[in-house]
Amino acid sequence: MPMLRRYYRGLICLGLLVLLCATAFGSLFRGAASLSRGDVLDALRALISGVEAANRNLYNLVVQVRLPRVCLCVLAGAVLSIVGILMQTLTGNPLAEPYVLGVSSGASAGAAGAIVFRWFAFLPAGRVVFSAFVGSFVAIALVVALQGKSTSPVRLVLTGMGVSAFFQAATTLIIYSSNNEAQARSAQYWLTGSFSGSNWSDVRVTLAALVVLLVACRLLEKELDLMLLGQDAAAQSGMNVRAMQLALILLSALAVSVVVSVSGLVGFVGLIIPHIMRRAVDTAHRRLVISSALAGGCFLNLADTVARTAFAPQEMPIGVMTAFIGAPVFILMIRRIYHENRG
Amino acid sequence: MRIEVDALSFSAGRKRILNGVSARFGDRGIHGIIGPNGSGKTTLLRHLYRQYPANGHIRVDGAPIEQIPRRQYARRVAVMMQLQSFAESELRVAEVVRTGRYPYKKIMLPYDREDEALLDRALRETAMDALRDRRVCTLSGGELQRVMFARCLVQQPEVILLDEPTNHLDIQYRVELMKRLRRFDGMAILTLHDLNLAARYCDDILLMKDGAILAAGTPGEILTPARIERAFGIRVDVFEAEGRICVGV
Repeated sequence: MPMLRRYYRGLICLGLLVLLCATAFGSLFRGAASLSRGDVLDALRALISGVEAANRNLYNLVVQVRLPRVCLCVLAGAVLSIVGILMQTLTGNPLAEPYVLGVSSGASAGAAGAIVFRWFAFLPAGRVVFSAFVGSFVAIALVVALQGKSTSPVRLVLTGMGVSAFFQAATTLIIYSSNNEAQARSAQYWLTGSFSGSNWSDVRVTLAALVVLLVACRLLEKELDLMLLGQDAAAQSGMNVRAMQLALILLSALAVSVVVSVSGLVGFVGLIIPHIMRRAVDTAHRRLVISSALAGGCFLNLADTVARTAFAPQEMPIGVMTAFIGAPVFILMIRRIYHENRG
Repeated sequence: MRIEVDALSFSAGRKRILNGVSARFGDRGIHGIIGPNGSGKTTLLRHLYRQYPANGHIRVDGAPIEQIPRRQYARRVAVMMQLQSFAESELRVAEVVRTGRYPYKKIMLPYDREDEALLDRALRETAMDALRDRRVCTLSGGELQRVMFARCLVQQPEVILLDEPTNHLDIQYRVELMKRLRRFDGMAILTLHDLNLAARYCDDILLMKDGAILAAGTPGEILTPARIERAFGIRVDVFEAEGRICVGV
């Protein structure tokens, strides 16, 4: 038994990894276009061996459409889960999450502005992501500043609601002020969230964001764990609280802006997954980050698979799926916090 | 370690909380700060853990406190955290205690073997080693208090500061904590409500009222009916039994 206890957290991580690979592989076989199992396997074989595929169209469908989409979902799910953890540690509050606190909305307002008004036109590349970054940075800095040293979950969530409402209104305003129909439609995309049209360059950017997050979490592990004891305890232990807050704000804003600019608004992933992993695995960051990244990738890919197949050939926005599952969890968490405070 | 407080004043908004407080805390022993609510005892303690700027009025071994880098200060002075601040945390016992090593670590480097050895020792000393993997939210008040004390121990400080550490504790845990402080090889400075605990375990006592020091000295000198009446505005009996001072309300 002691052996089992010692390794069970590691075993959970291993189990999640296996589950992630299995579900990711399985979801390649599902989609709006009906492909036989043999078609998909042929395309994958051609991709791996580098041999010209027999059927070019089928190959492209698998390698240029489905595969990047699955990869992107997995990566975005992992990034969103880790950002959720960082924001929860930053605010000392389990209800913090990029969507709930309006950080995603800030990013989407920035992205929409870059498209419609050509903000940051002087940048040679990455205009949209940069603008999204500025938007999410403003949003999260606003929330943290308004929260101050208060640890009240209600205050944090209400502040987030306000920030979120403001930036969603700003996004809508930007969209309506555009007289270019195609632009307006592409901007509309920032409000709903979808992984349709994913491509390999999206995957690369998101992968980079994930690597940055994982490395940062590993390097700042001590600081993150210490922050769980509260700002005062961290300061008394000699940590530079302000610098750490700023680092976490920058990291979160960076990651959120990347995810929002490849997928639009996808809420609640960073809320549900860390919440479950804290109970199942650990609250300290080392295992929490890894297990949440794996579980988040698994979850978002499954959600996207359902979103694109349930009403095929129609596609449901992914944000609808995650909110459908996430909002009840959110409500349960609030109930629980109130229960604990009262009892 | 020698701490000298010299004519320290502090206001929050227009309210004066400390009014020219001077005090000396010597190398060893338990220094109790007592006084009614609002007398400024917690504010004085918070200056020692550097929550408020001291503006040159506090010296540590002769050097102004604000000139000591925070991380170095944290290696010498540990603050025992309040119960409530992480009573709901889902962290595990060992994880909480380990953070006490933070002041000794370089940024970006993990805790190492030496830290783990100190952690093991502190958990054994506080009889928490069997519970090291328990989440702190499942602990009793007495166990939590031991976790917080163990966190101070791994910090290897010369001084432990405690702000009303016994408030939420049952009587047996109050005594247990005071005994642990007695065994601690260094100095403890704490604010206290319970006059009998102060009488029994403190080496000297600072009696405060309205942001000023009313008196300072040994428990025998401070805990007299006249002084207590001046500070708290109530009449009490003080008697000695078997060489101990007892305050009867």
